[in-house]
Amino acid sequence: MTSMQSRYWSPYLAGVAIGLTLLAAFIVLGTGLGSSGAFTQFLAAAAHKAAPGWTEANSYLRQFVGEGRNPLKDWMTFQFAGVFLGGLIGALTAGRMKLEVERGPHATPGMRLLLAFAGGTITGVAARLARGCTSGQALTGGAQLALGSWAFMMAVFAAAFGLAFFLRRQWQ
Amino acid sequence: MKAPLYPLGLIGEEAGFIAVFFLGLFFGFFLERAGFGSSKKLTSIFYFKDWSVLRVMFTAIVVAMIGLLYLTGIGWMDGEAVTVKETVLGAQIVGGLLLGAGFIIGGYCPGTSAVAAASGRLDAFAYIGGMFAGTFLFSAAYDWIQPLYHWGGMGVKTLPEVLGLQPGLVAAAVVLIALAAFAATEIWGNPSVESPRVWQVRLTPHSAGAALAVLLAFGLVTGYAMASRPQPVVAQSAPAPAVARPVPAAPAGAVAAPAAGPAPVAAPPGGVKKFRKGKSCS
Repeated sequence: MTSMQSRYWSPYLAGVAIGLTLLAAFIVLGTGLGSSGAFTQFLAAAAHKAAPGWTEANSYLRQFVGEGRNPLKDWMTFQFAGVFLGGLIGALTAGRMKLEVERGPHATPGMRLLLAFAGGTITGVAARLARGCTSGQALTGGAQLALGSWAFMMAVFAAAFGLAFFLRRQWQ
Repeated sequence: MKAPLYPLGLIGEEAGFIAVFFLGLFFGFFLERAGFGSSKKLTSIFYFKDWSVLRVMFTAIVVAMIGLLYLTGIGWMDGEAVTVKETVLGAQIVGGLLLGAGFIIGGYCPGTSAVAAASGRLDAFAYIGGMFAGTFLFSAAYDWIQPLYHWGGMGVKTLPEVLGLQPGLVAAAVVLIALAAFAATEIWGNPSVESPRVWQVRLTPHSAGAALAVLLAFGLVTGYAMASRPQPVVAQSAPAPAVARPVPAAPAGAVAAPAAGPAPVAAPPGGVKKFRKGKSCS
């Protein structure tokens, strides 16, 4: 433990702060917050650059790259940039900026990176299927009492708790 | 109606872009302060070691939910102009299960991976690479996945509609469940006093409980205020919004809800939420 690191906030205080940010998003934008949507926009932009024909023909991605549409000029990508910068400011001011592969005491860096990539891949599919992630569905839809968002949230926790046993050597 | 600003045309698109950037900035900063730039901290809830994920999420949901109910309840905010995501129950349950698996395997969810990457965590960059791979796989296989993608589509559905209860009551129940979860994890899990003292305010289970009890009372009052409200204030003297939107007719609830199951208690006062095509966060 580095003594230079400032402590985390109380989870309740952080929760209130995030809740007020979410409320502000409802008030200003009329939508909530979201994270995974930015990945779709970035991917659509990159795919359109690399293979315009394929992207315009792809039945999912074509909605983001249609006539006169720039997938990078989207609320989601701007918000994602904000989240990244906010995280950067937070980590720097708290002394938590550290280049490392964060892993459990018994996990190897290679395995951790592999599993992080695998987990990201599964999540990439999952977030498209569910039309959102922990931000867009669980937090935003949760606060709006949307049926699907609550079902989604329960499913997330059920799967993670259910699979935790098999991954205990990675984390504990 | 004063809000929501963008859908009512009270701010332009450029202002929206600036606002969404700063909202993200605060979101990312607060996630970092919650400790969510760390995969070890995020996943330790699944080993019953650190309940921050549950505490932060539930608190955020409760705060935003009560705020939303209150602002629409007093007529300051047009609930109809707020985008509510469609429920596609099957797809969302399967997607949720997969995302939960990706969470425990990868150590992050999409938003927290951005914060972790900004904090220098290399595994977060691997996770982000995976996110792009997964999004690509989904897009490439979209034709094949479509039946699953649309499985259980029900349009916009909220818990109050499904349960046939007033939104304020459902919200009060959510607050109660959150309080019970906080109490249970404070008693049997790790206490939050390990990370105390923010701005010299010592957060103990008691002070946090007291603050949340105030929230609950507020939620209940709001709920009943809304329940006793006969009609959403549509015809206000305030300048009409420039955005053309179907004005919810008074009996919309009766038309939209085919008497399914036990006859629901009158349509919620907020009216039946209509799904507006437009910018949605995901």
